Amino acid sequence: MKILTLIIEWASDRYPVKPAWTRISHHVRKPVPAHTNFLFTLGSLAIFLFAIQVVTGLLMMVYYKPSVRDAYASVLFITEEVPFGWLIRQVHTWGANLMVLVVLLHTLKTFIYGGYKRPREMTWVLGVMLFGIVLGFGFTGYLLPWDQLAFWATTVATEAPGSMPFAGPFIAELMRGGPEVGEATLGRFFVAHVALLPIALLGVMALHLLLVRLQGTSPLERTDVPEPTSEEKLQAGGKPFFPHHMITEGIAAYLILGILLTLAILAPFHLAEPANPFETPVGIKPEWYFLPMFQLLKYLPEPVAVALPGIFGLVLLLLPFIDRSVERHPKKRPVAMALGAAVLVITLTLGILGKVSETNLTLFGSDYHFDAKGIPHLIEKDGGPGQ
Amino acid sequence: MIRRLNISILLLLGLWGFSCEDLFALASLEESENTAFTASVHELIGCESCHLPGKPDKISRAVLPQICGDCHPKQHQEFTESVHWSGKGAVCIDCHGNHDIRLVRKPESKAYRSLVCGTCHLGPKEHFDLGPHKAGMEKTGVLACASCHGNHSIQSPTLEIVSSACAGCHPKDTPEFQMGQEVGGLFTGIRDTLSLAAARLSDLQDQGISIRKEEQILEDARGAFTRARLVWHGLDMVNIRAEVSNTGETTQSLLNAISSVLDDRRLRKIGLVVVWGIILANIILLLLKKKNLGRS
Repeated sequence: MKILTLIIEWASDRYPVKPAWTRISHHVRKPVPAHTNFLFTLGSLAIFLFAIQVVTGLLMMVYYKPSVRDAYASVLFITEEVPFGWLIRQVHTWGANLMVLVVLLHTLKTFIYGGYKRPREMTWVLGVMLFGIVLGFGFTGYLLPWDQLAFWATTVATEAPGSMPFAGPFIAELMRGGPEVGEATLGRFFVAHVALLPIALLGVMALHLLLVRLQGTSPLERTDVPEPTSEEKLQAGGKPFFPHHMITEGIAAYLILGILLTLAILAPFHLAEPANPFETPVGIKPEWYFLPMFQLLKYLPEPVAVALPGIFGLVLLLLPFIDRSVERHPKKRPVAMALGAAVLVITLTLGILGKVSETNLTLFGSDYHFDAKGIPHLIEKDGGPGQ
Repeated sequence: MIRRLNISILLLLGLWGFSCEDLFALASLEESENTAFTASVHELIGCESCHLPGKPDKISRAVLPQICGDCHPKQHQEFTESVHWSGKGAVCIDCHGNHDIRLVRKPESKAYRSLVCGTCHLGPKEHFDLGPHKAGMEKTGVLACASCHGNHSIQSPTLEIVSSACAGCHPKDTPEFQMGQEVGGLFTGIRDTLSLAAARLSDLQDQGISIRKEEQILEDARGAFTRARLVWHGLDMVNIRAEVSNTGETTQSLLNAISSVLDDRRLRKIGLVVVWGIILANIILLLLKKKNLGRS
């Protein structure tokens, strides 16, 4: 802290930074409510993971070549030839997965604690937008290695919007840059992944953070009573954000770093064969966070299945304006909690069905074949699926 | 003129005892095949012995061995246990011919001295033709390929046949037999090392380790081993030693690559333990700091 004070003093001798620093210092030291726990570090963890993604992504961009001819070979080069390239790529891939998980849990935590309610509606709206941007990162990044999985998962995913009425074909064409996934698609996805989405994320995240600091962490009291002042929070057992809560965030960041490195080293992602538009592999599936949507396509007519997640996203975005009840405490919002739990169970079930679909599994000593809709069929001893 | 001659031959064959169906079948054969059949070893059994009444004229390759086996049961039994049958390779007519079939001991036979093998197995033939076995076998009139590999009961060649194959012609105290044993020993060493390397690679793959580059080296080693085995047919020791050495080097580089993968993995795990140590130490420091803040 001494170094920071020296820097501020050095700067304030030359520029009018003192008032701004005082305000920042005040907002950073504002206490967090007493109910703040480890779950309230998820937002910071998402920022920490984003920073890791930026660093590892920039390092990979030194060698990555976004062309159909060179993309796969350049990823192989990064993995096999560049010093620590394997680690950088694995950290980036696992980091993307953890980032989606952390942002998902952060959203869920905010829903449970009623943090989206008045006066923090815009913080929630920006948060949902951030969630969408993070999914966009996952979607566009998945294609870049240009292997069979990437190519066919993107082919399936970009076909789906085409089934929507009116704008569907236009959206599909816009995503692909042509009738099929190819050079134009890779170029578009690359630009989106390394330029458009990072700019969007940084902008929205800055606004989101600004609002979080200005308004402070949401209390658990009703929205129609005045929020506790800093002194009241401290008296109720709350602690200053800096340094108390930031230390907790530091501990969480160290833990997620350890988990990330462990996954990167012990459970690496392998490249599939290079993309081949003439050979469709069996059982192509998207990343886990798109599995529920992917599975939904198998049960419902395509336009409905494509529209449903969009409608769900819109409801999520406008949630603070739809749910206008004054209670924040989860125990006092049984309907919201029940609806949230139902959505979670349905999403998880769809995801699990998507994961097991078109696979063979042994359950309770018997072998089962799970068909495309995830329905198990007992495999007879002669090897064929039974009825 | 030729047509009149054909009719005359058919009439003569009719007098000899051929049935009308046989005569009509013969009449439908091409001129050259017609002549070949009448000169073949099967001319006495007639067409209907193979082209059974009520069955399609054209005999499928899948059915053919059974038809031949009706008269040649021992050969059929051996053939159905061979690699040619299980591997859906050659059937009877590919080695013996069909309408022109002759006794195998006759030089006109397609299968004479088993030289027919080179029709499909071009690589071994190329080297065999350059080596001393060809001239020696021609001189003594012994079978060529079949002397070592067998004929109807042929199996995929293994190094285990070397001893008995050489001993078939060369007594055990001769330099030729000793040379065969030496080459067999060299190849056995390479084969065993290759098997070991392949097993280790399979283990690595089971552990979820990417072995793309190592698999490529294994393919190269297997290719080199196949080339060495082809060169063996020429019995040129200089060439054989060179190919064996080449295979050995490729196999060794594969074993080195596997060791390097394992070392690398071990190093990564050690690195991970060190990183966790640093992380836990920092977490403890932060917890202590938090505790101190709580007191103050």
